Amino acid sequence: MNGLSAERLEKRRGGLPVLRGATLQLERGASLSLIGANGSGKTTLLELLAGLSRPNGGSIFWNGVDARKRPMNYRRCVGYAAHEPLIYPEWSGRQNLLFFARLRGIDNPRLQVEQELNEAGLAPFAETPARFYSRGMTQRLALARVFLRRSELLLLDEPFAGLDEESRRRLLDRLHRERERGAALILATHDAEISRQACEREARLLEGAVVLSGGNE
Amino acid sequence: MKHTFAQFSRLFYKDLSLQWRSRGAMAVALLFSLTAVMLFALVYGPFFSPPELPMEARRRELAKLASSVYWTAAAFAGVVAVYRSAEADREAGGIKAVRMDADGSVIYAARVCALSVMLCLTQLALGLLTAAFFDIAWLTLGDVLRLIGVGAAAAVGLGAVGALMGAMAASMRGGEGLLSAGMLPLQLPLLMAASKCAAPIWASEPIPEKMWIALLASYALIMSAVGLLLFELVLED
Repeated sequence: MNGLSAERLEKRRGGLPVLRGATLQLERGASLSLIGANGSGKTTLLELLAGLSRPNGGSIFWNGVDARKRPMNYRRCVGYAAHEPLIYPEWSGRQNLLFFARLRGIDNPRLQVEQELNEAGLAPFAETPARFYSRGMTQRLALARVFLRRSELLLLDEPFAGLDEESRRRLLDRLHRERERGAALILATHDAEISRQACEREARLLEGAVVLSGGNE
Repeated sequence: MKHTFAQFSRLFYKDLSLQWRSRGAMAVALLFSLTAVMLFALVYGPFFSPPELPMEARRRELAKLASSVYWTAAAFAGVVAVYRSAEADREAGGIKAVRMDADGSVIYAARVCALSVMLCLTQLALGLLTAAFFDIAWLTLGDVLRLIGVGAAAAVGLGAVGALMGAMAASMRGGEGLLSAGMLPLQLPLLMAASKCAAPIWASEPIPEKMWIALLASYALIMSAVGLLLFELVLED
């Protein structure tokens, strides 16, 4: 299948089941918001889909690439923003982005990084160590790191948390552009309004399984 | 291959850079080492062995003491360096972002190399302190080179265990406790071999029991191989 295919995913933590047979399908360029109460397993599901955590059962494929058998090929297709910013706070915003751009082997890393810093509104603070950033600035830096990758599958865990109105509007606009580029999007959120604005479809996690899926139109 | 090497270089630089930025922790480790060396030197000195013994026997006794104190302090400094390195990755989840682009084995190799460099530098400072406080003035250039060789092999072994244990500790709550409790017993064969190898060198003598050299080298190799195989699994949760 073209796109994401996650079948009967199971995950236990500390002996307790968090995911019980969660199944998701998503075509390229499509978008899905993941809704669920605290502890319903949204973050766990996104970590599995990012290829960072090992499921206890089930399978994950992106465009036919098996996340278990070819983890690096799979992960390189994915852009993942987690609850934590996934950056190095001791480094400045620019240092963080340059490091990740070079690690990925992006062409013209400096140019790309400057573009992302401008887009995130972080250019004036580019040399400031990230540990001095406010929560919103840290979130913008975390998202800039994700967008820098030009990923085919975007997995964003509460990406609007901590953002002001202007930044939320910019992020919504960016998500639309990413989808126009062909990226698929899964967004975990508590915010029904954001879910409607950012995604076409909605899936609900209940007791570790995806139980509802409907349109957001 | 070129891309893998480029990734290794980036990660090596990242680990060294973050260690350097947290050099306050290393200063604490060195301070502890200085205290340990000073304390032993004061308690046992200024005449470290009975003056009636022949010079060679006195050197040998002093070298044994210096070697044990040196490696005790080095072990502590190693735990601090490993903890800082794991903490820098854990603090804001940076390691997860790194894993999106780099294979676990490359991350591990870079971490071991960076830790080894840090540990070698720490050991160098510690070696100078030990020589100064234990009044060891008879070492030749050859002895110094042999000590550097033992120190480098031990640093790779400590780095190999430390990188793996640091990743395990970073992935669980209260991991610092696990790091000390797990790392120190695991290091024991390496520390024994390193101090057994270093003691005769401090006395400017050849190493009589070659099994300690074999243990030191094989520990570093085996632990590095085990780490390369397990690192991705440890990070995967």
